[in-house]
Amino acid sequence: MIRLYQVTKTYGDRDALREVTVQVAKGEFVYVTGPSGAGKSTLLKLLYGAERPTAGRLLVNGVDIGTLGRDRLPQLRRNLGVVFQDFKLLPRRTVFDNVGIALEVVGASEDAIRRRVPAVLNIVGLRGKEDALASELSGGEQQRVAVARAIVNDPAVLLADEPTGNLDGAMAVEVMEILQAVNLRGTTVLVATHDVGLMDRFPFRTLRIVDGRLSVAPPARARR
Amino acid sequence: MSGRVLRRALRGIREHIGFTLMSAGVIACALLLVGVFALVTGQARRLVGTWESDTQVSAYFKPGVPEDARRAAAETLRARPEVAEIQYVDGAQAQAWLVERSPELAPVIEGLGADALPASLEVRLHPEQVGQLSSFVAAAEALDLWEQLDYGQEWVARFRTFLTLAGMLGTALGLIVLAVTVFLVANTIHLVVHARRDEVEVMRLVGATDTFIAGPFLLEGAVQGFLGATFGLGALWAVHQLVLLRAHSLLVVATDGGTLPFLGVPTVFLLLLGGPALGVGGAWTAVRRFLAAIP
Repeated sequence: MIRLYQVTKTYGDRDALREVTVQVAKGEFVYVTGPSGAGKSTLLKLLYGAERPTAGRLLVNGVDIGTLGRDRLPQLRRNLGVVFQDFKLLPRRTVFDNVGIALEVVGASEDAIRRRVPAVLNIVGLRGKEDALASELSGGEQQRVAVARAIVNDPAVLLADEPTGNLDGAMAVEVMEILQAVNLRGTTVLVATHDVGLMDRFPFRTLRIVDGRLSVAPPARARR
Repeated sequence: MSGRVLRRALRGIREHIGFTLMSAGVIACALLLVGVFALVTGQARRLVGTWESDTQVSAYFKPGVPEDARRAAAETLRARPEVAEIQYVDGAQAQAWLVERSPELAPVIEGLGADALPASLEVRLHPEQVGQLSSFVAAAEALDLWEQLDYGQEWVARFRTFLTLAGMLGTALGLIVLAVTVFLVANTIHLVVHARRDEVEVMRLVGATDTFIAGPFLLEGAVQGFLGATFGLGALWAVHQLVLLRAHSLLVVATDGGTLPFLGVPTVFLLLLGGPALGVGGAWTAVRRFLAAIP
């Protein structure tokens, strides 16, 4: 599903990632952890094509991101869901519009959008909030809208960059439960986080990045 | 799909009405400039055309040329293809005409005697033959009967040359105005796009193609262009009416009977199309630049 071979990403004379080789299987839930500035976000950016590797090969769903033409990037992203720490919602748009936009870009019909959006909002526990403006929601609710937008097209892979970074404990747990539920439906989930508490509570394989280099850490519970 | 593009474009216009009006204003100013230029040069060309089609030559006989030689010269010139009408005016007729035009000078003119003014031939050329003026003048000069040949066409020719140069200069200026307008519109729309950076980023993130993102912006550009063209033409019409009202006496002198026709239908149509074209061009430039910067 996701394969990296000797992937290096350099900014100027600084290596954000150095010769990273790793595989993530289909349907797996994996954490990417490490201190701030270690290269977690860079790895995720490489995976959704916001950055190109300086060296090495990087395959997502069998697509080589390094050689992927700019015109084929939208097709890749339609099969990926991405969630950010700052939600990246459109604050002046309704919850329905924020989720529906992902269906609009793939050319879904109005009918399909009207059916699909409430169904996904039901999964993330926001049924009935369709007409609320994104800016009127709490942080946890906004992140759930972001997750709904990321999964509304049933992506094969869900990438989440510090999805609980702006949330308090209870809300963070709610969001992690949703991500786990998404994973149980067959979606490969990759979460960049440094929240050890959450990793303990939801133990999965953990990739640790320090100074751009990858070391495979044992699952959180095994570390205790 | 087109319904969605339209809906998104209308929402963009509604949410950023200030930018929309700013873009329309820039386009309106540019088209107003072009329109004023077209109006002035069009009127100048009409005037030159009128002057040329009314080409007259006054040929004044030397003193002492016998009456029969004058009549023969008139017949010789009448036979030329350029000539539409030729009239022989003897000294007495010229004097009577002058007295009629300037009665206050009558005592002076009559005091000069009957032969004070030279006899002349007043020649009017066919409008389609005005290009042959110089060959007509050459033929007349060859008769060697004249004190003076007056044909006020030299300055018309100069004015025509000036107009041609002004036209070339105008075309160059027009191209510069066009480039500046596209630049200004592109930058104004760039501000609009920048204000919606988050929206574009989100669309990019969920897999929107460049066409999907750019579509509404192009449509907004077309609407801004159409508004701009309408405002610009409206302002031009107002300027035109103001000139007709406030400067009519000047127009009587400077134009053919004080008329100053507005732009023709094809030109108005061209300007109405030019607005949306500028808007779309500006939007495309801005969106392309912006999309290139967002991965």
